[in-house]
Amino acid sequence: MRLHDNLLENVKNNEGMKGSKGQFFSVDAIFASIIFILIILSVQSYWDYSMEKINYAGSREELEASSRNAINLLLLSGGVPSNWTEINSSSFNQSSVQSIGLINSDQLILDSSKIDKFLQINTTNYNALKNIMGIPEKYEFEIKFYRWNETDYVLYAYAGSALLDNATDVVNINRYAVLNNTWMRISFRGWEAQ
Amino acid sequence: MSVKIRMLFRSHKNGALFTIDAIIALLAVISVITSAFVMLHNREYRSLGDEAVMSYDSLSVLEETKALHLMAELNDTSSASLFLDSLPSQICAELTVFTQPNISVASVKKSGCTGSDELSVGRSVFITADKSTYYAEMKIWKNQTQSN
Repeated sequence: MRLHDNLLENVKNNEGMKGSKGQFFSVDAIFASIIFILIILSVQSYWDYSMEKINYAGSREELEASSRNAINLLLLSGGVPSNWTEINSSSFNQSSVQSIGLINSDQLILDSSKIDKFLQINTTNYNALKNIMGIPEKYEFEIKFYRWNETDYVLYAYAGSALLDNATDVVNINRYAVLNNTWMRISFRGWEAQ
Repeated sequence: MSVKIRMLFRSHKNGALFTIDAIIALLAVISVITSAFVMLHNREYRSLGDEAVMSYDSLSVLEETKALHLMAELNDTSSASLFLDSLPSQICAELTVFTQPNISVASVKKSGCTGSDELSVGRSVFITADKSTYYAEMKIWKNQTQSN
């Protein structure tokens, strides 16, 4: 009992405890808090980075998909209607032509008259051509037909809109086909301007 | 597991408690987070789609221009060899014609190319003038010497 009274007296006399609230404070707690904050900050910065990457991938995917679809339509189909080359350039739109294709019957075997008409519409009505090819308005395309001359591929025909310096995203697709029993390399570029 | 506890006491100051368990846990957390970041950062989105399309395109073109027929009937690889050598420099290719799936008739590889473990394979069947059936196989892969 005497010991207890002494302890109580000591506590009462302790200046540090007078009038102050109790608190738990340790190096462990500080250390843990710093780690926790670092982890939160790292996760947040990585989240922002990932979201930016996902958004870019989505946009890139759209450009890639539309470019692949466009070149597939050109090289693997004859177009709808199949006699689309007979339609007057001035009345060339999505209601008169559903799709454009550069072959007659066999896939990858190009028809020179369809290429000629394609080039003609490109010069007179590029936007209609782009729409019919299924390329969204915000993107542009450029297509180059190279023909094998027994030693190298030389430029045979060109259509579309030339790639600008401020292009933010470019998709390149190389395909091979045949024109009049000669190898052709078709370089298609889908691109997005700033 | 035995736990060693070391308590640091300073007279009338705040106490600090360190344990081996806490240090091990901390190291584990740091290594897991670091590994996750490294794995996510190094993740590669690879597609062999372009090579596959190129192999089928090439087979169609070579069949149409009779290069495959020359290989099958006359063992003449000159036209096919020319085509393979004209492919983009970053692409390697090998073309083989078979009478049956495992009997090779003629084969040609693009100049300057060595083999690769990662390749894209296109196969097609064609019929020659004498009504014989042949199989053509086109292997395409990235040229390691060009990409490095």
